[in-house]
Amino acid sequence: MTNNNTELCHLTIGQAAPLLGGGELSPVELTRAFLERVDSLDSSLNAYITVLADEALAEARTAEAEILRGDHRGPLHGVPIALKDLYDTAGVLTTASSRVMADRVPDEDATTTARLRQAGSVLLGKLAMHEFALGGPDPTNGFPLARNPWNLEHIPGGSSSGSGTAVSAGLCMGSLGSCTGGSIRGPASFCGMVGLKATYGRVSRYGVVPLSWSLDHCGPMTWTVEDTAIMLQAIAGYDPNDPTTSRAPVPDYSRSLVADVSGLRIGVPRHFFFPDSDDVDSEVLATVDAALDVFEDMGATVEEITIPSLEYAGASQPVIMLSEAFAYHQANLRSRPDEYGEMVRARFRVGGMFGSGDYVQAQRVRGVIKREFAEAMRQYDVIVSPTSSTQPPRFDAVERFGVPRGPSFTGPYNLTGMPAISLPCGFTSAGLPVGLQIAGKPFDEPTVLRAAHTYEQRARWFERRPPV
Amino acid sequence: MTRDAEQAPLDAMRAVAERAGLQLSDDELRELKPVYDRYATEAARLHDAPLDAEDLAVVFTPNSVFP
Repeated sequence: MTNNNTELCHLTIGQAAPLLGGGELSPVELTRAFLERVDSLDSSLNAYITVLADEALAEARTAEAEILRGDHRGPLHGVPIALKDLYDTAGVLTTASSRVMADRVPDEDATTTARLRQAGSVLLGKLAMHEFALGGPDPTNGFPLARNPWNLEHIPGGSSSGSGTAVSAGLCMGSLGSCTGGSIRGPASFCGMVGLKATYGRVSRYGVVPLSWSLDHCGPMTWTVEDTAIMLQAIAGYDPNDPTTSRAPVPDYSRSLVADVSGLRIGVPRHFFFPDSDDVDSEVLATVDAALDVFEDMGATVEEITIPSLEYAGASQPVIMLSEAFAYHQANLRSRPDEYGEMVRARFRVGGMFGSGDYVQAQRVRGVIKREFAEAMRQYDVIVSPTSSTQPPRFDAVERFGVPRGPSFTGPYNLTGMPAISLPCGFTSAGLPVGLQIAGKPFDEPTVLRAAHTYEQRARWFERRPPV
Repeated sequence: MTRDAEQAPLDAMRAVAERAGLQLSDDELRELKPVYDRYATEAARLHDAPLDAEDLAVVFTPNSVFP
């Protein structure tokens, strides 16, 4: 075993699962390796808010006993994972990275937490995040700021910052993020890994601290597309506790992992995702263009398309998000404003200052965007773009109130509810990862996963790990 | 929030903040103004969008509430 248990902690879930199921790898040994690595590295990475060492080892022992007696639950049995600290965990602190919830201990698990437990996973702990899943790294909110394993001076993205840091640095095998405007795909892009925002209604949000009810999504964050498919399988499906979840059958996502995109029709709205603008990084765009060439080489067709209403996505998404967030937080904003960090407090307050007409217009614009995408998806299987308009910024370049300069390339799919994944497609000259975003038709995660898996297996960026 | 909110003076900001139940000091309003102006500009754009007769559709599915 190499230093910091690198050999074990760089196994993917897909690699570890048959070893665990076959008794060749001990869940206890694997869990202990991750706990030692967290103990060794996390003081500089700040991925974890809470480490559940004793509990994780107990869960690992249980998993080991179950597997040894032939009661193997599937590919997550004995797999050490960690959760963004807004997923409720019964009896375990769940803070949403805010002093407002600093002492909050839920009585029950989120539905997704419970499903991952049912699948036999081992919970290593709870992960750092931007306060209430909004804004950027805020030194005023009283919680440690997770750092990017590719370069500690750069942010890991957010709001699922700790999930990105932990998976990328090999501090857990998989995680769940939440996403209201890009909080799964953003850190996946900046940390050189995979993150999937499943279709709105595909994964329960029950027991997940909300930011914006109509925009919030849940999904996996992992090192490979295969691992994302495995985690999605465990958490997807109808939940009577979340009225927005769908009763549509959950397909077998492992069947999507076929390396073949011949005939796949790819649409690229270049007018929005490849603008000639100083706010968009040209090196990122060139890297994504090269990935599109790879898709063409593999037999996909790539065509430029137009979605005119995308022009208004950057106005609609924040008005809806902040208005709904204010509705959730208004009592605390009035009675205990000093317990919020500066970034989040400012933006939540602005959410209360929009008028009803603003919110209604934002929802009507959302309707037009959804319809235009639906029309486009009659001719195309997926839409491909950069995940982020920028490279991961340095911490000292983040604006005090966390309002981004460039356009959001992820927010449109929170408006439409379409499934969207980010996976690595290369590195900048500074050695920072670049993410490729693939979005599909509602509930067509299989095609999104197939396209992503095919590219991943050709490009093999997953073979490069951060220098930690 | 009005379309010309980008230039809103602090008193106008105070009025909309109070409507939301937020009692903010001058210092707090001054600190908030760049963020407010940024989002007010975006919100104003929504009122210029070509929406024609776009409906504000709300789908009521009783079975999803009462399984």
